Amino acid sequence: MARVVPILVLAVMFCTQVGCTISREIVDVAPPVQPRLENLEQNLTYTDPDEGRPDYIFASR
Amino acid sequence: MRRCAYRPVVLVFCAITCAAAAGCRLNPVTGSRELALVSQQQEIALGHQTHPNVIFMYDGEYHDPELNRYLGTIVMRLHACSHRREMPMEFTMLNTSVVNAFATPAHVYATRGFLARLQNEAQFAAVMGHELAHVAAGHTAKQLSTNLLTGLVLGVAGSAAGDSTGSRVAVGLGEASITLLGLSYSREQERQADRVGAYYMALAGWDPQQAIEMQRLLASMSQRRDTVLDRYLSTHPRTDNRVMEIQNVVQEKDLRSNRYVQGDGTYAERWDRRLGELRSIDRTFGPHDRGMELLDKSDYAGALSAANESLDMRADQPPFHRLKGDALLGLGRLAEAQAAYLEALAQDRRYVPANTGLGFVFVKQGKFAEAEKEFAIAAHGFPGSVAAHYGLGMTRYELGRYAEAVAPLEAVAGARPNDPDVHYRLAVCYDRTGRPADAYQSYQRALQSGLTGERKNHAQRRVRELEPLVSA
Repeated sequence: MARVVPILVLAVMFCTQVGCTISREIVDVAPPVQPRLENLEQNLTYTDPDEGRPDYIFASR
Repeated sequence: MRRCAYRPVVLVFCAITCAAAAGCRLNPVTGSRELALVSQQQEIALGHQTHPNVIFMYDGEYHDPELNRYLGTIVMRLHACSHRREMPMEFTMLNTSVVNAFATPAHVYATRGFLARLQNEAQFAAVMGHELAHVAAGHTAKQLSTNLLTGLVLGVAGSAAGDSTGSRVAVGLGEASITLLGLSYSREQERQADRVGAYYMALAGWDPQQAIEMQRLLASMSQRRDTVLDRYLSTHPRTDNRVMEIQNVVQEKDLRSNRYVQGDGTYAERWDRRLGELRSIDRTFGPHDRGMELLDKSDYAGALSAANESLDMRADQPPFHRLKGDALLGLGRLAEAQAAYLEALAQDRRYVPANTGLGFVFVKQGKFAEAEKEFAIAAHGFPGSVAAHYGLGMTRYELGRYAEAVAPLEAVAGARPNDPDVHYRLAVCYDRTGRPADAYQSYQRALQSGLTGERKNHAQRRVRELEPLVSA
């Protein structure tokens, strides 16, 4: 069994690569209308999804 | 009944065939079908699970809400141009001098060290575009799928061999999230991310020429043997190939035309103005980083001196206080170490490495109940922390709470397979909670790992006593 395992792992890695050569194609994207880049500072819209209180926060000491 | 030796092999190939047939999906970047056994929901869940581990593997978040708003807006502008804009995305700055940027599903990160070195906004857009391209092209999902299948093979093979190690290692520590951090992309995937990232930055209005300049900047830093670059350079292809790849896509899609580039396309003045404070803070980390190296070499006096040097420049950075606490702990100056860790938490109460430090101070003072509370906070905040889980298991063991000590000690045993202390404590916990077979195995592992002294005698005696029970 010990000899079979590395062969199986290699086989799986090979199988997952078959037919998956990366294409150079880039499908065109039509981005949404956004404010001009020159005006970025007038449109700082990003808000931290957890508002600076991430999942790992816990009751204060 | 005799067990067929090739049954696991058959099982594995059946599983692969089924998985491959079920798991092909359309890659939105290339329009071609690719193997993906991980759904978008699973990807996102894994990204969230990884998030706290990422933060503390890179020494905590860099807190500057205004800068975060500016940089996050840039990231979201790029993300809106990506092929997977429906995926939620969060931007986080990491408070380390290491130069790195990376993405996990639903999260993209840049380190303070990297941000301080970039020359303009467009170079930041190039870095983030590249990382968002990895997510959009499903590189993470593909790597995870490969790992999943490889794990399946090892799992089936392991169970066929009667090995319980796999299940033991899988306990705790957010193993999947740690796996995600360990993923590295192929050169072909990196080149694709370069092409697609340059496309995104151009669509969002920045000059893709700066993606090329950014590569040259990295190359020049590398020639100066900037050691903090190690991580980024070790995971990315050589500069020449990357420059060529970007040049090709710029030409093919005419990305430098007025149709795309807005204004001067670089926004260097805006960048310098916004990044001034971060660069100033970055400079104060010089002595701290040197101190961390000294700490690794157990030069506690040198580490303390370096921590104080950084603290003389700024007192608001939790890692400086933590380094001071670690150095004082090493020197046995427990009350001062405690004060330093508390100051780190006063600066940022989410900075859980300081809780781990406090835990070890309490352990040295014999205050196990107080130590356990600190380790519990640390393990909750940083699920991948071996030190916090070790502290948690060890204090519960000392408090005689053997059943509760099992899970954290099992997690540490998976991460430190040759640590006799961990295996011995785990064995005692199994022994005291009516699990003789597990106790027998752990005593043996402790002995094989080099257990010494009175514990060795105890382990040998228990192995002899448990043997008839286990073999029966």
